Amino acid sequence: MAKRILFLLNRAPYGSSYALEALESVLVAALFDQQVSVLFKGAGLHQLLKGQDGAAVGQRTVGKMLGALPEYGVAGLFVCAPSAARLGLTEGDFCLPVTLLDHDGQRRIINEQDIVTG
Amino acid sequence: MGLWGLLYCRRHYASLLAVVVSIAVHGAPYASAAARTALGFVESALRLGHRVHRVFFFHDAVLLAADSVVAPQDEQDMQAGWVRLQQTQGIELALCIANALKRGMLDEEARRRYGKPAATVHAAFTVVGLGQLIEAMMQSDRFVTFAG
Repeated sequence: MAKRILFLLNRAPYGSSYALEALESVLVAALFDQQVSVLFKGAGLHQLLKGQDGAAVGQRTVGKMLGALPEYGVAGLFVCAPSAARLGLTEGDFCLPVTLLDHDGQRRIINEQDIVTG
Repeated sequence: MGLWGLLYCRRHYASLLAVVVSIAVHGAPYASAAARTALGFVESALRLGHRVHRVFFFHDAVLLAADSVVAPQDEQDMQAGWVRLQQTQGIELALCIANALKRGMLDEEARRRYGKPAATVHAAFTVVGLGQLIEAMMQSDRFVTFAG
């Protein structure tokens, strides 16, 4: 039976390989037909920025990989609104359509999950 | 009811509530406490009668499996603790293959395939695909991540 799995992504896209590796696990979860959602928090919001190019640092472009999420059937793409406010980012800065959530909203979607992981 | 009776009831009660647990460990050994905390968690879960389906080492946590590790004498040997669990309880210790290869963690098969001088993964660990992470999530009642 499909599980509701939330990936909480809070790492910057190029400071380490964590963002790319986590993204691979998100994609595999979606391939296994699980109900996958993603919540971006903190430095993880930088993964969503428009106009990034990983080639400049010899890596794949995280934002471009994220673009595949809707095709893989990842339904929920959430962004921590307080993180966005702190970083001075708005929806127009992101390369994907996302839903901004305050802390109460995040608590609500976390409560709905079977599994919350990184 | 004597002490043994109480203990028996507790054990019996625990087995009724037993769940299947899998965990993911993300943090590097020594650079984070993830592997140590996770080991304590798994030992406690087993003591309480729960079943541990799989331990999945991801990101830098794959380095825990290095066969060449020499633990300092005055510190807990973290790898030894995990190896003991595998050998005595048959707990599956799985490394993400993509994360392992690029960090130089090779089992014998990978060593041969890529023509490297030595296998580097301790025999208690198995190198598996990411699908096994998701399978562990699907097969377990509880899935806990030790991010580090």
